[in-house]
Amino acid sequence: MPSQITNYQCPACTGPLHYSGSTGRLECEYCGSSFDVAEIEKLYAQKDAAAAAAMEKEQAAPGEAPKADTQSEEDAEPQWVDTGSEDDVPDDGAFSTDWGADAEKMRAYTCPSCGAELICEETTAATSCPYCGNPTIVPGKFAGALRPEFVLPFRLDKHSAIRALKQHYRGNPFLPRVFSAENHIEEIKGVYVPFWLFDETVTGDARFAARRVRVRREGDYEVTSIDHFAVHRSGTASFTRIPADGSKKMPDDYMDSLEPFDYNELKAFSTAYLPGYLADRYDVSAKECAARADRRCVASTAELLERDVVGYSSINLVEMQSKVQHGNVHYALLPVWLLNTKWNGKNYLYAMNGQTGKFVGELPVSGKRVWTATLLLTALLTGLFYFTGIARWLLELFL
Amino acid sequence: MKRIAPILCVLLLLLGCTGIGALAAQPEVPYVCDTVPLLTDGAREELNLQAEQIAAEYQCAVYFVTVEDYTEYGNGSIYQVAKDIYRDNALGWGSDRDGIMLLLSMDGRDYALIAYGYGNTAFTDYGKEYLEKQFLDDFSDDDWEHGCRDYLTTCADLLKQARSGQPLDRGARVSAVQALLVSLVLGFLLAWVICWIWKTIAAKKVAQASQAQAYLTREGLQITGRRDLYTHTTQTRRKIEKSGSSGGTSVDRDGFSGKSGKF
Repeated sequence: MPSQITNYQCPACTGPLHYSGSTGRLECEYCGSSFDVAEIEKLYAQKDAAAAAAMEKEQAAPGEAPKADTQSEEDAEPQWVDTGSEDDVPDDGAFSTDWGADAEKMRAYTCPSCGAELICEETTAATSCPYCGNPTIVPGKFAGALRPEFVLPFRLDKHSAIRALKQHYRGNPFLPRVFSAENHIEEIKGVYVPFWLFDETVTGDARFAARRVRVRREGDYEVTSIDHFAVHRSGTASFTRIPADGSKKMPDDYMDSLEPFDYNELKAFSTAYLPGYLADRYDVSAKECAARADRRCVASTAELLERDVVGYSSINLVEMQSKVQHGNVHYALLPVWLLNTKWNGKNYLYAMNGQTGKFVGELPVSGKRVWTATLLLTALLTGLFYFTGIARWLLELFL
Repeated sequence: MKRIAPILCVLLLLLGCTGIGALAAQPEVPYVCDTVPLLTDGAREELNLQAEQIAAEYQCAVYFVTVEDYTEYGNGSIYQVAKDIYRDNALGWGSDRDGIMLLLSMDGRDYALIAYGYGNTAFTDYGKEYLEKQFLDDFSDDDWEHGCRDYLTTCADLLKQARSGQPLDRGARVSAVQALLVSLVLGFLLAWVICWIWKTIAAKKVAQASQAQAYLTREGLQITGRRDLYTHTTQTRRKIEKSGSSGGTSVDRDGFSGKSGKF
């Protein structure tokens, strides 16, 4: 059965609509109109209702083709047709169509705008046609139990992301010059990443070895007395909405490094926030992600209990017993700008929090630049050690 | 005559210290003034001759004085008494009274090493430490002749070095090439470490989160149990080392520099 695919179009000129993070509205790049998210949602709800009524009528009288129904279909938004998984692709003669196990995870669609056949991953929920650039939503991926509770709309646009990436480059003196020149910086993409937000309560019971150090002078001797204590603390800490990304494609360390997100701007989920961005549904379950959140909560509880131990010179955690109580789990889409680029045969991924602008990513290192910096610094430090007499002083100590 | 040399020395020193000597022409104290006596007559004469030659060559007097009990020659510490003996007997070379004196007091096995005038320049604090190391072990073993010989020989070496314009001081034993090599090695190692840390920080800025404090609810942590139990006390003692100087000579307000101790 073909999936319903929404292609949000401008009510004024039928051009494709994009959600703009900076204005928080859906904008048409052809006629310049902009619309409120609620306005478009209402319009499309009416269109969906009209299309459903037309479908019912057609099924009730299959031989007839009423004029009103035809009109209704014309009014309905263009729809991509799900042509099934890649297993169903007909044989093209000389070309092999055997995609092996990967085929099961792929879906083929036909773009309603230009007719091109597109291959997407089965988790893809929002994308754009690479031929005509039409932003498109696959609502079936967010239906029923797969529907996110919240979406955190993009606040920073593509220009901000590019600016942040350039800033990121500037801060690294060891970055090869050719890398920034060759880099396809314009290919940065906005992605709504599926996240699980966990509510948890941790009951912790921690034992610490604490020491209190006193130093006094007795003649020519320094006497150090250390009082040893066995310290016990127990307590309960509640955490809310700890994020853990539910996408296999997204590296956990990158997604964790993008925190924090401002949850005050969370909106009830609507596909109207997605046009112009990519979006995937989750492919890592909440159960699988819970362990990550548990670890963080237990570590934080231990640290909080340790902070309660005061009045000592040093404190060491000896043992920590904890019990985690799981609360609500929310499914949300959070905004991330991503650039995946290749240089010298190695992949480099950069990510920016689409709400706060926090940027993370590994940069390549130029060996030549590292050596140049090391040699320059060596010259500077050699002069410093020689002319301040530090080298002579050190030699005297050992000679 | 040889046997009366120590007695003469005692008399000369006492005369000087009581100020009687100042009334008449200043009697001359030998460079090796062994009042105890610790040295044989032959060794004393030989060493005195060596001290005279050193003083004449470098124009800086080098004294080796032994007494039974330094308190007989003045009040205060052995360092203070050594200064009194040097000053009251008008010791030293020339009008500036340049010289160095090692005083041994056998009663408490105390010693004082003082310098004056050009002696302060030639025998820096570090130089005096170096000088001490040459003779203290001999005196600890009651090898007086060997200790005195080492003292005089080392004084000659230090004076020679000082007259060449480079008195032995902290760092003076290190050649410029050695210092440059050490600077280069240390500079390279430190530069390499700095660049490595810089490179690591700049290249990788992602890490899995290990904490969740930012997501703590408004109630925070509710403490349900709190117990602090004293178990025991441990104690360690460490001798306080005196910090080393950065070089040069520390001269007191009387114009002397030196140190004292036991052997």
